[in-house]
Amino acid sequence: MTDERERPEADDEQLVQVAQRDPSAFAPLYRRYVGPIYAFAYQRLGTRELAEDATSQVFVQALAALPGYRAGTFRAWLYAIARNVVTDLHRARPVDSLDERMATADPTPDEVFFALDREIDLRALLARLTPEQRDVVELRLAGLNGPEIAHALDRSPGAVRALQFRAYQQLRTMLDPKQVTK
Amino acid sequence: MTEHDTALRFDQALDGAAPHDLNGAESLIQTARTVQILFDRQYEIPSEAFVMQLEQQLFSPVVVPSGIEGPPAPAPHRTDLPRPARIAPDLHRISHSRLVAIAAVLVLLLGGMGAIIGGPLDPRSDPEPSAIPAASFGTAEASPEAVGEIWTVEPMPSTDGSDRPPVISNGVAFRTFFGSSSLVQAVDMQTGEVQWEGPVRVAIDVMAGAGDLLLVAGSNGARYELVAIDGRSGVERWSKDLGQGPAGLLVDGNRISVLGRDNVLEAFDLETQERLWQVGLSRFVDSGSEHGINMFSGFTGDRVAMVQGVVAVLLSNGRLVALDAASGELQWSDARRTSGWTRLAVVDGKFIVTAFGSRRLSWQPDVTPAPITSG
Repeated sequence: MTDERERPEADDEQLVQVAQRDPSAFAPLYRRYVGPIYAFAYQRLGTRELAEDATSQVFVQALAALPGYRAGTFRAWLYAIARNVVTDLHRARPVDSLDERMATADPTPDEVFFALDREIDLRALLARLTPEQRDVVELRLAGLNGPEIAHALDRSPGAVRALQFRAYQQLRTMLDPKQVTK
Repeated sequence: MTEHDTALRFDQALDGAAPHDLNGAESLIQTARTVQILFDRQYEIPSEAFVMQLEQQLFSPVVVPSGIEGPPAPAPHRTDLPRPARIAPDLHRISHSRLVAIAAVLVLLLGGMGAIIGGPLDPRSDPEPSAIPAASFGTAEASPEAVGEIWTVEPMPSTDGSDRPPVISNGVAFRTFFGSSSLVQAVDMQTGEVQWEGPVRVAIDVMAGAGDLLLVAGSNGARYELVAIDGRSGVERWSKDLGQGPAGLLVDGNRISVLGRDNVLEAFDLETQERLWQVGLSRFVDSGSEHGINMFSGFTGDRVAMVQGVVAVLLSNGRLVALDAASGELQWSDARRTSGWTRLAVVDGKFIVTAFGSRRLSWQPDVTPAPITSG
């Protein structure tokens, strides 16, 4: 298998154009993005089973929607589909899951510090952000740039910047107990 | 330096265009690095077996997944289907929903988006007596002269152009898009002129026409809403909160039926928006698969239909339940559960379920009243 962290390449659009005429030509794009999309799904859903389900659905939907794709940013388009799929699956899970427990918990700085010392669980951190903030951070971690995130979330660049700024402020507070006591 | 400026500089830094003066964003950048390190450390890689299996299923010329739950295997004729050359031996590890999804895309790839016929899935060889004849799925050909293009409308420039099936009401086609689910483009069907286009307040999960109104339902970011929009002007007329994410929407006269992803059906009065009745249908969904309605934008949405005062709901497990539209009283349910991507339609006054990715392409529910016990 190729390097899972391989960065998107500039020929995405060319590959898409070919794949619009011949779906089998989508395979290189699949290989390029299956790892990152899986990681993105896992980040939100937290289990291998759900992440695999989500990854399958993303590529099924992408293949089906490909004829209607217009030139733009393929990566943002694919992650927009991924975000919708993951959001749907996330909503459909049983509510007694890690995210909800972590989101409703109110950790003290000591607990956060303890978690940091013990290798903090990023999913637990992100679960405490608002859904909009979490979307932005997860797409940023997936490697999308600001305009791509705005495209994927159907929001203005300014709105994404504001969400991103507040999200990282929140994360800074969570990661550094001293910030809380200032 | 305002918060806006700091947010801008922070964003530029993350995009790799670091300004000279970060001015307040330094500690946030350190936070971003820490979070990225955590992400990299905890980066989950899919198993090679999964990646290979999915690739085979997506791109092999013909693959018929085995082991799909659903109606009894009806088809001796399927034994001669071509088998994948390198099908993985542990296919059973792939979940049911994934197999269904994979099969569905194969149907799309084999038959094209519009014509789901032909090849190994040809319904003409299906022994089920209720199968719809293949001709019903549009095999007829027409000459280019006979068809003729009347007009075309480009997608909204701010979208990627991948549009979903439009809703047509009172001569206006309402078009929405996969990647920009809050955008609507209203097109006059006679002239092809765009009447209005722009964002609505919700990310649209389902929509329906109601005379001059366009009804859309989905999340506004904080909660779920049903929003009524003037179809000719795009002006919002009213909105109503919904308890759950919407999975189906039907308008019949002055009554709106909304199916929630929690398998609850509600009816509202179109004029007053008062709730007329509400019925929970979760007991018709197997406890093991009670994940609510699985929404595949562009593939589902037709989950509620009406025939002669009876409203039928296609639940997440493919089971059909019928209620009296006026009172919400349960009428009958069909015992069959259909796996695959199911859609509900009305043909010649009968409910028809189509299921992509299952062993059936379509079936007509048994509308013989089945006793429904209360509770």
